[in-house]
Parts: sequence; structure tokens; C-alpha cells
Amino acid sequence: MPVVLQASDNQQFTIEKAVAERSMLLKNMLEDVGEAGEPIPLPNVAGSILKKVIEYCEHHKEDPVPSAEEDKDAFESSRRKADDIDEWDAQFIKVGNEELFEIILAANYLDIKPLLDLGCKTVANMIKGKTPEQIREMFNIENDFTPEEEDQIRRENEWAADA
Amino acid sequence: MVCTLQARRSSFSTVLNLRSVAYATTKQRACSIWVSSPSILYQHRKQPHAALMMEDIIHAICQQIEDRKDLVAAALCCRRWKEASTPLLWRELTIGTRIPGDICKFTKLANVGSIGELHDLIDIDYICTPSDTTRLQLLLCALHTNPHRAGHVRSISIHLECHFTSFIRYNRNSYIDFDDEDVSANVKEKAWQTFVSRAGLCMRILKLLPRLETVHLTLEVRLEEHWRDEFDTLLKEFAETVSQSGVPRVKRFHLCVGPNAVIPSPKGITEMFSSGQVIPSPRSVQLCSWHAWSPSDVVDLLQNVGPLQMLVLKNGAAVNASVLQAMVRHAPSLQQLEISDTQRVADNVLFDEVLPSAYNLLDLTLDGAVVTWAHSSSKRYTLGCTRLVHLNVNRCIRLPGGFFDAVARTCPLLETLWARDNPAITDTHVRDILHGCKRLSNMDLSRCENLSITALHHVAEACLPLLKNINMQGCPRIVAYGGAGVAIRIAESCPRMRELKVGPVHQKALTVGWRVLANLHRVSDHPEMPAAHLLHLHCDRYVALNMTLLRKYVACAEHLLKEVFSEESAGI
Repeated sequence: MPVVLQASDNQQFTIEKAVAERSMLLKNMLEDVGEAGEPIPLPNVAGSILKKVIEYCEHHKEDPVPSAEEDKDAFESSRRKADDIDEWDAQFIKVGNEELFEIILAANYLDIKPLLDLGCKTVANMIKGKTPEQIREMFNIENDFTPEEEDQIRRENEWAADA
Repeated sequence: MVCTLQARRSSFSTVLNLRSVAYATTKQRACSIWVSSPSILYQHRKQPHAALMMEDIIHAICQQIEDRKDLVAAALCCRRWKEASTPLLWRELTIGTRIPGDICKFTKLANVGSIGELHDLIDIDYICTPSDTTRLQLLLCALHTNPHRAGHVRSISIHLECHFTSFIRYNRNSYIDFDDEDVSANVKEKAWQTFVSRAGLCMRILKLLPRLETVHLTLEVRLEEHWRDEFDTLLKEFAETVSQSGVPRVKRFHLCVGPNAVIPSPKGITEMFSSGQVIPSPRSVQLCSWHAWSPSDVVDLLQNVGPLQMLVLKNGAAVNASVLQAMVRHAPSLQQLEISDTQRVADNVLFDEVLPSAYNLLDLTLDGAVVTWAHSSSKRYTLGCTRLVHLNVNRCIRLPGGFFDAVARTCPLLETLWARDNPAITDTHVRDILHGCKRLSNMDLSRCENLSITALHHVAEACLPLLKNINMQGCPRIVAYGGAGVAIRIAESCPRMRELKVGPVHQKALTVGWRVLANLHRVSDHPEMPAAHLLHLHCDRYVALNMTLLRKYVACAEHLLKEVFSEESAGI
């Protein structure tokens, strides 16, 4: 049975249940409430962003469910980190900063971990090689440190500076 | 409509679990700022995006930062980012004695022309970079000054490293290797003293970490005879430091004997665990260099450690029946097993006793380990490892086909299959593995002489959603009979395929289709290019077909192949 999602701007999207279930939030809802057929209101997600999120979920609807965390040992986590962004995902996430952060917010709210990871990894890639000043400028972050505090952070990380 | 929505919203809120409620509440708090007045936020007051006001999102971003330098830069942005990144900066520490240091960086040796000149030039400062000692002192100082940082540390990797095998760069791209005999006795003694003093600093750091859970100890020491006692004392001191009043204070301990190690006897190492009280039994043991050890030394070690999760036996002496018998008791707990570049592996014990009971194995590497076979090749094999994710059986020249049948039957979670140089693997095995292992993403079947183009047809038919890379280079019957069109079918049916490696592609008419695909990057922008022109294009003997490009230009590639083959059939 299809699932109807309603965005904050009242746009409605009818999607397959398998697509909706990529979101843990929706999956839990559907399991607990059943399939009433009524639109599910998502007041925190705008229509344009919901459309992108659905596009992602549709593409990944057949992905195997990741193994449970407890199955993975330390050597597994190192492999996971090294794994790069999938080709389709890389194209999908090529969006402006504004849209990227709204996708991240939506993924966080809807509890879609792979999409949240993809968004955060993209932001992490933007940070790569930047100075604190450049990062602040890029994301409009205000420097609220005193010079002493800043100095202290530098000093306590000095030991790994050239490592 | 409003009523329905309200009712629906209320019914949903009752079913959300606590975590989802927390997500929604945090989200709404942040969203209320931007949903109501985004223009104020982005046009008049320069503020971070609402996502960057949420601690869990900043934390999720910081978790994806791989380089420590970038994480420090993130911590220096503002207090909010500092809060998120500080625990990550201190969660895992890597410290060590690092001898030799980063010797190739030294430009003073730029004019070294021969190995003969090297002996006089290598002095203690080249072998032991002074800043490596300073780094340990700075860390010790940072932990003393900010004890709460020490509380974040959950895992530490300690490299006790002192050997004289390295290289020096000279004339930009040339290198001179040097080894033990190129270093004077005097320099070696000084290096050893530096090693002992740095090891002492590591122990002092270790003592300051109250919430440590995991310790990785790598021993990469080339022991001189008269250093042995001091080294064994050091290990004892290490074991005592990891314990607290005789009770292990860490949950996980991992031991690695690195590839440059020369430790004549494992006595000191075995004694670390033999009491069973001083140090927790290691979860992983990696022996990457154990030429000097006899199989009975390894048996001793395996008998003195608790159930292992990881065991690596690499580049050492015989893994005979007694070593494998000692391994049997670890089999049910093993998650990773590697036996590679060792000699005379007792295949009957490995396949009859170890692997059938390795129920929890996720990663199995037997690189070059199966070069004998005691059983009949028609035997039906049983593998216990139903959760296997990575399998490496490269160069197992005597591995029978029955093993691959067992993989197809037993390992539905397999993601990586490396089976280079395996004469027993056939097209039928490939078909069965593709049907049985739907999560496969990487396959290396290079130089498997019995594979043919049929194997590629099986790949196209299996339509595996996660398949990314296939290497079939050196399989002579893949390319020889043409059939390049199957590559297009694979690109279409496996949406994530990135690369298909094949070859050798001979400059013969029958392989022209493969040459066209290998040159697709040249013609993709000019689909009108006459096919006859392509016949004169050459390619390397071994090619890596870019499947992304192929997927993008499917129509163009199909058109070119049709045109080429009609001309080919016309005698070109």
C-alpha cells in the first residue's frame, strides 16, 4: 500500500512503503499505527527538500539493511571510513550549501542514517584542508573564543601537529 | 482536513519512540528559528544554518572528519564545535617510539651517491628524530594539565618500534635502502637508549588514562642479543601498567608483531599473558614477522591467550598441524583470520577442523596459503562462516572447486571476493557465487585460467545492485572470443559498477569490440566518428573499462559496436 507524505508547504507525495521505510521514523510509525492511508504530516520538511529525500530513498530502496553495529569489530570501522562516496550519491549531493544543510536536517529528523552520513561526509569534505578562519567564513560561524582559549586548544594539540 | 491532520499528528506522536521524539523536539527547536523567518537569518544577520546550531548534527559532521588536523581546525571554530570535536580528538591516541623516524625527509643526505657513503653519514639524529621525543613530552604535559582530556581516551595504539630498516631519498626520485649492517654499533646503542626512554614516556602516558578500554600494542623491535632482558622487563612493566592492582583495567587488548620485527624468542610476550591476571587476554594477535620462531613458539602463544577475535599469521615459518590444532579452540570466536605468505600450511586441519567451526568469521584471508591439498578434490566441504564478508584466497593454487561451491552455499553476506590465480574456479562457480552472495561489491578473479566470457554473461544476468569492481585481467578466454557487448549489459544491469578490468586485448579483429570500449573516452564527445576510424585505435594490453562512462554513453557504444562488427564481418 502506498504511503502519502505531506510537507510543511502542504505538498503531498505518494510513495511506496519500501521507500518510506528507509526512514526509521516513518518505519516505526507505520509499524505502530498501521497503514491508515491518511497523509503523514512532516511539518519540519519543505516540499522541495522532501522531494530530494524521496529521490534518495527511492534510489536506495533495495539496498540491504546494514548489519547491526554489534556485529562489527574495530577493524570493520576503519574499512567503513575509508569507503568513498558512491557515484550516484556524489551526483545527488551536488547541491548548494543551503539545500545541503536542509537535507541534513531532514535526514536527521526522519532518521535516515545513510543520508545523514552522506550529508555530513560532504560537509566534512568541505572542511578538509581549511583553516579555522576559512571554516568560520564558509559557515558563518562566529568566533566566540578568547585568545587564551584559542591558544590553549592549539597547545594541547601541539603534540600531534606533525604526526 | 485540518481535523484529520491534527488527529493523525496526535496518533503519530503517541507511537514515536523516545529517540524519535528527541529528534523531533531538537529539530523543532532549531527549525522554529528558520521556518518562521529565514530572510532575517540569511540576509540581515549572518548566522550559521539551523543545522549547524544542532549539537548532534555538528557531532555527526565531526565524526566524518578523518584527518586529525582538520578536526583540530574544527575545534578552533567556536565553542559549540569545540564541544563536539574534543571527545573525538582524544578518543583514540596513537603514540610510539618511532625508530627510525621519518628519515627520508632529511635533505642533508641529498648528495649521498652510494651505499658505501651511507655508513658514515647516518648518525643518531637521523635515526631518532628528536621531535618524536618532544611530541611524547608534549602529550604527557597536555594530559597532566587537562586531566579531563585523559578521561576521553578510550583507545590507545602504542608502537614499540626500534629497527634499522628504512630508506633515504636522494636526487628527488631515487632512494637508498639501508639495513642493520649500515648503522654503526655506537649509533645503535644510542638509538636503543632513546627507545627505552620513549617507551618509559609511553608507560607514563598510559598510567594517566583512567577510562581506557582498548590497547593496541605493536612490537616492531629488532632485538640485539644483549637487549633481550631489558626488552622483557619493558614488556613486564607494560603489562603491569595495563593492570591495576593485578586486575586488568582494559577490556580489549590487541597484539601485533610488525613486519620489521626480529624477536628471537616470544618468551617475554607469552609471559605477559601466562598469569592470566596481569593483562587481559588479547582479542587479536598479529604475527607479521616470525621467521625466528618455531611452530612450538606459536603453539605456546596460542595456548596462553584467551579466545581470539583476530589472528594473523603472516610471513613466518610453518603453520603445521600442531599450530592449527592450537587454533581450533579459537575458531568459534574468530572474526578475522589471516594466514598468508607462510609455508607448509596443514590444509587438512585447516579445512576439516578450523573453518567448519569458525561461525563468527567476517574476514578470511588465505593468501598463497593453500599450495598443497591432502583430500580428494571431489570432497564436499563445509564452511561454518555464514557471516563472512571478506574472502581472500588469492594464489591458493591447490584450492579445489568444491571450496567455491561451499562459499556460494554458505556466505550470503559476502562483499569482497579476491580469488586471483585460482585454476579451480570455473564459470559455474562464478554463477553460483553471484546467486548466493547478493551483496558482492568487489571481485578479483584475475589470472583464473578456466574462466571464459560465460562468467561475464553470468555477471550481467545476476544484476547485483552493489557490484562495483571486477578484475578479470589475465583470464585469456574472457577477451579472446569477443563479446564486448556483455560489458554494456553489465554496466546497465549493475547500477553501481565502476570498473571492469580485462585483458590482454590483442590487436586482432576478434577483440576490436573491446578496443572500442577501451577507447570510449576518446569518442564519447564525437559520436559521429566513423567506426572505421576506431579500428585503427590501439589500447593497452590490459584495460580498465570505465563503467560510469559506458553507462552514460550506452547508445553511442552500442551504435559503434554494431557499426564495427558489420564492417568486421565485411572482412575488415
